[in-house]
Amino acid sequence: MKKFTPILLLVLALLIPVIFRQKPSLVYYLNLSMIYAISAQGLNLLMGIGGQISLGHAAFMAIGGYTSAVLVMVLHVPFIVALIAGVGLSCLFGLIIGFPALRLKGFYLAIATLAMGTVVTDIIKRIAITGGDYGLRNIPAPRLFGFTFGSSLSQFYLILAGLLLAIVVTRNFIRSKSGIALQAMRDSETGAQAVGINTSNYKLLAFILASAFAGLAGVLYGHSVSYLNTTNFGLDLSINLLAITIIGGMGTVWGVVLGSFLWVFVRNLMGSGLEMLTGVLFGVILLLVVLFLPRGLSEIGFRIAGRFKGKNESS
Amino acid sequence: MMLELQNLTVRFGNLVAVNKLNTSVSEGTIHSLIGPNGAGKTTVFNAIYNLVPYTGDILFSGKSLRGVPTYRLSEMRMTRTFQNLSLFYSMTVEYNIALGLHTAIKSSILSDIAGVNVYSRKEVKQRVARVAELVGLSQLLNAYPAFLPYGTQKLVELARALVNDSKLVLLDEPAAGLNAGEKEQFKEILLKVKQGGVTILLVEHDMGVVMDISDKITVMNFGNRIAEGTPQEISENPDVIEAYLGVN
Ligand SMILES: Nc1ncnc2c1ncn2[C@@H]1O[C@H](COP(=O)(O)OP(=O)(O)OP(=O)(O)O)[C@@H](O)[C@H]1O
Ligand SMILES: [Mg+2]
Repeated sequence: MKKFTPILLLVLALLIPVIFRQKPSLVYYLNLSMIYAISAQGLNLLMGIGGQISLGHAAFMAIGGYTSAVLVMVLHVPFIVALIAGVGLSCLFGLIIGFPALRLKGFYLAIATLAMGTVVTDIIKRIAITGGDYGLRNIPAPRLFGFTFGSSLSQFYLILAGLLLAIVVTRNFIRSKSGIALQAMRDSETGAQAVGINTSNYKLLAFILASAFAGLAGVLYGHSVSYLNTTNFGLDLSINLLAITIIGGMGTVWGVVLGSFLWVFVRNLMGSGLEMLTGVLFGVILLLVVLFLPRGLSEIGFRIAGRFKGKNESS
Repeated sequence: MMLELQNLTVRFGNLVAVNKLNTSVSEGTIHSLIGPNGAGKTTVFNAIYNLVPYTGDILFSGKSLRGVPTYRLSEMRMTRTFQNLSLFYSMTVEYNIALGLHTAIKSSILSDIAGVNVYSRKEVKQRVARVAELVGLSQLLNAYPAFLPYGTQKLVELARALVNDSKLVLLDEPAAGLNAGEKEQFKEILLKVKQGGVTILLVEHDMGVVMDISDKITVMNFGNRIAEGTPQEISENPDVIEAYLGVN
């Protein structure tokens, strides 16, 4: 039975746009949720598995998004090339932001990544080609193998593919040698070094991986929302991504997906007039999770599935 | 010589934690480093591991360790345990031990992305099982260390240090937390490890353990070496009795 759960989920996911054909706005928000889930999956690896922290994660979405959009719009590069370039550049910046992490921990690392994030979005804003304060409009829809993903419905499948990729890669990585080395480092840095783990390299790897996911999310965001503005990728989103990861459950693969959906739907689908309360509501949820469900919402899932035996994903 | 300390000096501000220490650890021996609290024993380990700045020189199999990063030592076949545990608490005992093989197992980016669990390989499991048997942890491989008694957790760290066939292991108070019966077993374990050709540098407060199994003992006090010799020489040395052994 357990084996079929993912397949069942997948079939259900594939049918969603068909079921909600009449409600494209709902599909649009599903797409947005999945994009944030991809980005948060990177943060999940960085924090939940690697034990590092970043308050600049959203900036990597901006790097991916702007790189890809500019390449397609200005240089008329094929989408697939722009996507790879967006993710690649994001990785490069991930490597750069990783270096302070070699010397800093906890609070100081949080501040350093926050500063890096601010610098990155500020620089993007100052480059004329990105549209500056006005943002970048009319970004073309993704185009792959001659097919244009023009509607929310078709984009749903593209973004779902991206999310599945992120989930599979994360799941695999967690049980791989490098993934286990990262978890060892998270548990005890001295212990990790004593068994021969080059903690500096693994920290950089964690930051590179996290930025790859954020970059991919950013590319998908730009070409599906069709508008980019640096203000959307500031500290606000970085903190929300952090909250999504914690609410969902750090170190678990499905938690961040749950957290992203919750966030997007709490934020966007609350009745009109209640928008002002969404921040409060999300804050309360975060607080409750931190207090009562240290392993996040996925803990409920574990319990329901009867699989929760105090066992960690890591082993 | 397996390990040579030449004029090893470690300063923390005005405090000289280790003062011009000279000693050498012969291959295949159990060499103990003893002394009162704060004598500088752990600091010697930390200097060997390049975790604190030092002057003088440290030679491992004749090669200077100056500038060698901590994480390289495992590959060079030197491992250690810590006075304060440094276990991987999210993992089972089995994985804690298996991680000792980190440098022995090769992997690539591709195998990482494919999710190959290198630690579930048969030869890894066999090596882990062998050392678990030696240390007496065979029944506890699936347990999480946080739920085990302190002394047993120390044994998990010992197993992790032994699994990769080290030439030299540094043990920092490995018998702490063991009861009398377990200490007897512990002595047997270390003697077996020594028979297997492993050299041991042992920091231990339990004199029963130290006197029974050491080939050579170095005594430190306030960073200085105050005596060195066989267990019998040390237990009869008036300076040592005054500084350390006479305390109890
Ligand atoms: N990182 C450090 N910074 C400053 N002082 C230190 C540091 N590490 C150790 N010391 C000091 O150096 C001296 C030697 O400490 P060390 O831990 O080596 O003693 P020890 O012989 O291992 O003692 P114990 O038997 O209690 O473990 C102590 O006075 C200690 O306070
Ligand atoms: Mg000590």
